[in-house]
Amino acid sequence: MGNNKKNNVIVIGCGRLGSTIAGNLSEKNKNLMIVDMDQSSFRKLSASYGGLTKEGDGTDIDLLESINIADADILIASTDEDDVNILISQIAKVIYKVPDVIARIYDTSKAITCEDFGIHVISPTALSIKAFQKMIFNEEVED
Amino acid sequence: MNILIVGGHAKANFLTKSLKESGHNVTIINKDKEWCKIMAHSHGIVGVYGDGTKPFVLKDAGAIEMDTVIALCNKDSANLVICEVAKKQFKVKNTFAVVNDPKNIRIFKKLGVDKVISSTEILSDMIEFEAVIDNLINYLPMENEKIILSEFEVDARSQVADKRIKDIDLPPESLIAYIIRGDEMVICAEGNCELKISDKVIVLSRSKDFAKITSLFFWRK
Repeated sequence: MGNNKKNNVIVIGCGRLGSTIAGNLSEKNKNLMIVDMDQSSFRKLSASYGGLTKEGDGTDIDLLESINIADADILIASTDEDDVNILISQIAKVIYKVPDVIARIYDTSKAITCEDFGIHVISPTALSIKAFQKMIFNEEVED
Repeated sequence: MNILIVGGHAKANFLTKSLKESGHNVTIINKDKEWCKIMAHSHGIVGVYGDGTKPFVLKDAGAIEMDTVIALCNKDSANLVICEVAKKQFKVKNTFAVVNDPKNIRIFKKLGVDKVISSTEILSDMIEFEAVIDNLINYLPMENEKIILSEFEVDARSQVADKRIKDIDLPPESLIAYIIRGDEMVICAEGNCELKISDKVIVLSRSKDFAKITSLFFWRK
């Protein structure tokens, strides 16, 4: 990652995390597509968001194909359900070979489902624990 | 075999009953606490209350000892997670998921779930099957629907066309009682009688065998 040539980004789930990431990447001139079940979620996007939006179920492969998932360089699964993020990220990585797939998973014990597939897992719980440890004990912890 | 069933109400209940009857050791996990109690009492099984997508709940239910895990939750994504955690963390050999979206059958198999069925697909197949049986002329359930008297027309596409009765794979305790050919009624006492196209056939069977009988005469439009 960190490669500037990776331009096509799909974000599934337009919550606080998804909308903010989509906004930031859009400002960096990436081609963004954000998907959410609920049209009204797109209000969370910043005014400067220059990408596309699509209302629908991000676990449905017909929808994923309609937004050209096979051409995506990065897919971020950021719905509010761990199981849904796991399903979407595995579809993206295993079926459509998206190079970089990132899944937000709250329950760290479920990360095992994504390990062998080479999906990057971001766990807010693990990150919070790390931040606490650092703040209170002034120590870095291993993953 | 040790079998773990995660989620599901009616489906879990029915499946537990039939698996117990076949001598399997069944454990269930359900998010519905009352349902867990009912299932545990009525089937004499272990019922674990909790969210089966969480690895610690699967562990509590003894997932490590399981030969088979069956995921019957309403959400396809939950069933994927259950099967993957069972397989990857608890080394369960056989994982079985029910999905709503038929497109997920192929995807789940590719992701490593051993067996995947779609209830939507099965249901639509059954409705289609019922709707297109064109050659079932009469259908009469008797004795509290234990016995079914039915009349079929033999179509060129039926399995039974041009076959002798003794060569037809009829379920035991079923009987082809009469063959009606044109205006003539052929009483069929022996197995050498051959079924010809557009014969009408009167069949007596147990209701549990009726699906099999139907499949013998059935053809799709």
